[in-house]
Amino acid sequence: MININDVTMVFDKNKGEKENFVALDHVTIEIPEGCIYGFLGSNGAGKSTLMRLMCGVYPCSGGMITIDDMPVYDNPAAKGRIFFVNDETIQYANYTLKDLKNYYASYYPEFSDEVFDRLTGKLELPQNKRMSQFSKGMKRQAVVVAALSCKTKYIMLDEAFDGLDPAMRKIIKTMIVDELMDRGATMIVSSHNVAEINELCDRAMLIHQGHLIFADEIDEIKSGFCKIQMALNGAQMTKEMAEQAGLEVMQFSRLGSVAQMIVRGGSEDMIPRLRPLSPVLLEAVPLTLEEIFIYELEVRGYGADILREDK
Amino acid sequence: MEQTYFAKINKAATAECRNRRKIRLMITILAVAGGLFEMGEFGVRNWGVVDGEIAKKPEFQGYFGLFLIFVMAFFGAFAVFGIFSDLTNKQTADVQLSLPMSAKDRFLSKVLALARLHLIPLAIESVLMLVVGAIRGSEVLEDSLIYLLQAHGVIMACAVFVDAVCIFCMCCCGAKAEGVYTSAITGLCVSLTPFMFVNYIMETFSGVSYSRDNVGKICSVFGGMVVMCFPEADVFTTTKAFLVIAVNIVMSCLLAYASFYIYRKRDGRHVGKPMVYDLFMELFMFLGLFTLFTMFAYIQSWGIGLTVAAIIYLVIRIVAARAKITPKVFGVWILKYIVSFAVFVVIMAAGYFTGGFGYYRTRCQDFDCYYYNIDIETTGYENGYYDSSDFHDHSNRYTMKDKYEQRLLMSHSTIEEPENFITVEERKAKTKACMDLVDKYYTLEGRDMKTFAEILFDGRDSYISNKDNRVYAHVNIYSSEDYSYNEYPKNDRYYSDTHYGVSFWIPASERAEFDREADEITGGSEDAFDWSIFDD
Repeated sequence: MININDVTMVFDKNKGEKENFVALDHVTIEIPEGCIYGFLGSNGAGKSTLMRLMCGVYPCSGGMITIDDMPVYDNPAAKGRIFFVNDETIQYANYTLKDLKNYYASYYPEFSDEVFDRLTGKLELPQNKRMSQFSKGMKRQAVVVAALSCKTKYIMLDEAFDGLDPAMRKIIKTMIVDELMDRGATMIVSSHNVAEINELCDRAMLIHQGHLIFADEIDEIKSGFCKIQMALNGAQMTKEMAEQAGLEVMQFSRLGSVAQMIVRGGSEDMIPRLRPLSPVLLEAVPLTLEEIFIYELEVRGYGADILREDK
Repeated sequence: MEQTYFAKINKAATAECRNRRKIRLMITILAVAGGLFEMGEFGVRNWGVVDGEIAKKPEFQGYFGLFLIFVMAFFGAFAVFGIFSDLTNKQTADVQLSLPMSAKDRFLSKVLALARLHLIPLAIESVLMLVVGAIRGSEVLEDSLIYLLQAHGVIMACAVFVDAVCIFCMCCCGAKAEGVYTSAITGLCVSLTPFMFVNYIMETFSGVSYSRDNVGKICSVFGGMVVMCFPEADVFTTTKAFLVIAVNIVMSCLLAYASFYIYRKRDGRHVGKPMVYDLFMELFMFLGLFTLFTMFAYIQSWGIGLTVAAIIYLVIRIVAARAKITPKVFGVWILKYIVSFAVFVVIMAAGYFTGGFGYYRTRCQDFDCYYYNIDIETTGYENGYYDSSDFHDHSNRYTMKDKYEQRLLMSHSTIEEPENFITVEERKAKTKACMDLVDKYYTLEGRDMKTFAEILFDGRDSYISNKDNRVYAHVNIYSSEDYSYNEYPKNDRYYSDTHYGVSFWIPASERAEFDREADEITGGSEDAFDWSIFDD
């Protein structure tokens, strides 16, 4: 299990800046073994920073991260259980696949030549070409193959699927899931594509401006929000009326006499609270993860300034 | 367990080396080409006649091979910049810092990779050269091996120094450009500054110049000045040269060891910052400016010097800043430049008022020699004229009759019969008397800021200025040493002449007494003459 306990990450201010930059502010998450965990967040929210903390690239400014109860920073034993694929592949530009295999085989004692050869063969990746001549998708495939071949217990993919076409995403995802399922490994993946996280992951967390908004199983997250459509007889439904009924309204809109609300909480709890208003229409619609993502960030003002300026 | 640990480091080093094929190829090409040229250029030549037999000496009859090997030594910089790219490249840092290795493991594996890419090929080339040298120099086998070992020791010391400085600077910088130019400048400064400090500041302000003194030579332990240990440089005896080379290598290793502590403190946050440590930046700038100021003080070109130093300084500041430069920031830079110059002047002043940091107490020791000459001179100024008194011993007094006769036998040219010999006891007594004279009259009294400013800004010959109440005294002892051809290259007397000179001010009122004592010591002739001041 990866235990992220009250972690804070502060970057020292650069010359000319007045304050240090707090990238993560008291974040606590538990990542159990054998799951696929999605990191969601706006641009610059702190997802990549958290991943770098989890693989020992950065030390925590506060709090602690442990992998299987071992602190991770500067600890080869803990780092040997994790493989980090960052969002760039430029560092491998001069490598051939053989170089890539040799490179990681030198560091990870469990490295499997069999897995590497099988997967690169399956994906028909050219063995003797330099990776600088690979397409973006091929580079990604090669690095993911290397990650899977290292046979680490945890694999972290930072925006690994971004920029790939749908077919390529599907191929890579299928390959990862097949390999991980075989050996019960854990994958942590960050992406801006919420639908992808929804489809791939068992669990997810949402982070914004360094603050953790939620972290749970995806089904639980979804059950924590609902979209309610409601109309009153001869009166306009208002946000204030919903709030007086005890709802936490994240978004409120109206089309004609029908009000639409995104509220925090499950429909089974929220609907009974609205019944005293004697609505002529009252129904709850489940939310997608993407909608939750957008509404949670909107509540926190993300993009509001830009939208306001556009208007 | 240890073996397993080494195997881990070794594997990581192998992985690192595999990624540096281009630099390995370049180093190999230089090693092969340099080695082949060296082998062709090394040989043995006739050097003199000893006991009626021709003495032979190993040497290089061309230096292109050695030049290539020196270039190879400097190519270590490229290896370091590649191997330590995790300090300057975010993507590489992400990969390497997340690998299952501690900072210590990574550092060790990188140093091992550097050794395998750079130092081991150099060592192999040196060993092959020794084998070839043993064959081509078989007539004087021992001499040839010592000669080559000394030459290649110097190259190895240079290579280790280049590697160590580059590692140190890379560890202190987070951007490759900074790593490159700070390495080049720091390497130059570390090599030059101690040498200039001794040869300019200490000698100028003490007035002492002593060719047998080792203070200046000891600067060879710093960086690139180890080239003074090259056999053809004739600065050190073989034994001392090996000692200096060893110390030089040890100091470079210590620098690399210190770099480890800096490397260990770094993490992914520092990658990309031009200067990771402000202290390094300030020390680097001060070291660079100090070297430049010393150079310009030496060549007496302050107008151009201060401007050039300021331009170089500001360019580096601007490049390293990377951000918006406000008038306040610019003002702080200028202030730091002025402070650096002020500190330089203070150090120079400290040198002046302490007689070259105590170097003025250096005295000439007695030693065996062929020729022995004493020259004592006083120069005073009065009524617009300089007048000088010069007391000197008989020229070319031979001190060792048997050696003189031996030399007559060995020499193809005619050596004139000396006017008179001087006994060893007499020579010792004369040297002692000279040094007593210096002890008696050379004090640091009367040193003032005006004279200091004249020396600093007008040059070391500033004694040619109005000194109504003082007289400038020089005491010089010249000697030629015992030639021992047949012991080349292990002897310590085969090369140079010795000169001891000391210049100092004495009160004009003491001149007559000083001149009288000088006359007594030399027991020779006095040349007195006056000359006019050249008024500009």
